[in-house]
Amino acid sequence: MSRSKLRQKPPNERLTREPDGAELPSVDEMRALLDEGAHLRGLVRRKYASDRTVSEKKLHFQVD
Amino acid sequence: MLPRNVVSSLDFSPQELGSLIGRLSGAPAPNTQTEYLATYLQALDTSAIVVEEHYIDRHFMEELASYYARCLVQKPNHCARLHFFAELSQGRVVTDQLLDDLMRLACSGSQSDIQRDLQAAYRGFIVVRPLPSVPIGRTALAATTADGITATTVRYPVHLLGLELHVESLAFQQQDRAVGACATTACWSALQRLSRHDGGRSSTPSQITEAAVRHFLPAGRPFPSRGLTIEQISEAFRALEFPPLLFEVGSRPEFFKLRLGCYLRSQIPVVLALRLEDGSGHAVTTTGIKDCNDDFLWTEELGADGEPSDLVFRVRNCAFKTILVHDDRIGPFVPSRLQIDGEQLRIELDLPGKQTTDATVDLAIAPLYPKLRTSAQDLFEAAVELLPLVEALSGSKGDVIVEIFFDRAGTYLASLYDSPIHPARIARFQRQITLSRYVGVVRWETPSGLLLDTLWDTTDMGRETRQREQLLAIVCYDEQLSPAIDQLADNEGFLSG
Repeated sequence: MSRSKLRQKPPNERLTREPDGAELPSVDEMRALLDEGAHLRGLVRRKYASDRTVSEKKLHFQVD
Repeated sequence: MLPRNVVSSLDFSPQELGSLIGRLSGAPAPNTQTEYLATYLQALDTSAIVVEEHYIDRHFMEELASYYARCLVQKPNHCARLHFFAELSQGRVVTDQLLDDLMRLACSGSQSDIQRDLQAAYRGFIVVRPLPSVPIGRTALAATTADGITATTVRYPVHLLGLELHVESLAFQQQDRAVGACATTACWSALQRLSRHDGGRSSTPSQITEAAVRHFLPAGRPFPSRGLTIEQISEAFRALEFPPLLFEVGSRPEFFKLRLGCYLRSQIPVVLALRLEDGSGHAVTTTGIKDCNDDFLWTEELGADGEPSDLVFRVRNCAFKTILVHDDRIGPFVPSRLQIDGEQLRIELDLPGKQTTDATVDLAIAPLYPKLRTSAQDLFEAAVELLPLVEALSGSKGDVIVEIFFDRAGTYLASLYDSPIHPARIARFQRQITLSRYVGVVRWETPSGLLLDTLWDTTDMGRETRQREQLLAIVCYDEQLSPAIDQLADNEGFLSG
């Protein structure tokens, strides 16, 4: 489907995946999935927060 | 007396290489590095050595100026350089007579043909310093490409007998404790790639040591060098315009491997701080990765307060097992295996003669282009943010495989011409897209093929509003997904291709 034809469609019209005909999510559903992803990212960010820093002791480790 | 060069050739053999380095440097016997280099050159089918007996090497000249010039026993200011060749076309071996014949032919208009013939057989060079204890100077030998290895290299132009050759490599040299410890040498190798790749002049070992100790000198005098702390290494990279990102193994070796894998996949050399068996520290530079088609099942229990939010997907970046390192105790492009052992990450390095040595990986120092502000961790989090969307679009929950890496914008855009995307989509995308110099790529696929790339601006840190501010484009490899992605792009403001 060309981009110009897409632009003429209402934003929430359902598209299908050819040739299996499976429905693709609408724009609103995709936005909701992005929000769900942002929530997951926040959880991961908190869980891995300590991996963003290096301990003071390690900074003085001498390599020779 | 004016200096005079002597260029001559001889047949290659490990014994010949050892005695030649001994004659040129005064080294009493071949050391581990010489033995390793001889084995490496054999694997490159080397058949001849061409010796330049008077070669000025900028890196050694600065060592001389900063240290050796003030020693009682003087060293010459020049080195020798050894060039290595495999057989030329029609099985010809490089000899003095052949070089004479080729130069005569070059005079009669065949210069470019001769260069092409020599180039096909050229395997690189070793600079031999006039230092008997540490003779191996700047060494650029053709990078290993066997067994699916992707090496981190740059192109070194070489001028020999008025002919221009080149070698794709990353320079190695033996540690000279007078002006730099192993840490200096590891930084030097990393900067060889970074400086040249981003258009600068590579730093010399003495410049690196000076930069490292300018503000931090807890262990006394800078020369002779007694090693560098992680803080000093960071300061050296920062002063030389590649401020580093540090990350440690901590208690999550898989996550460390994921981040290391991202930088290796991006051809960004990383200095690894190792802890040896006796507890002492050692630094090596990562210079390649063995391509791995496996993936690692990433499972994460994220639910808090009874909220079920488990994360399950497959990650390409941490499935690798073999990397290459430059280790100044051994040589360039040393095959090394990483093994997770509980909360530790062990590394086993190959030595000459099928011996191995191992250590524990402690920490990574990734020197980065200053405007590459997004970290591998940020990019991983960006992948997590898009996971529910990609799973819904592909209809394959749990089977989605993700790979994260950084690429130069120009290189990434050039790679699209080799992709299966419809040419009309590529043409439209190329006309409209604006990318940062380094682009963050999150590549999505399923076992049945590539799905899409999400492209992220890397000139900012990962913010809470990241997707809406920094997702620059989605490139669809799977045509079935294009209509939905086009629709979303139109509504969210990023570009689709």
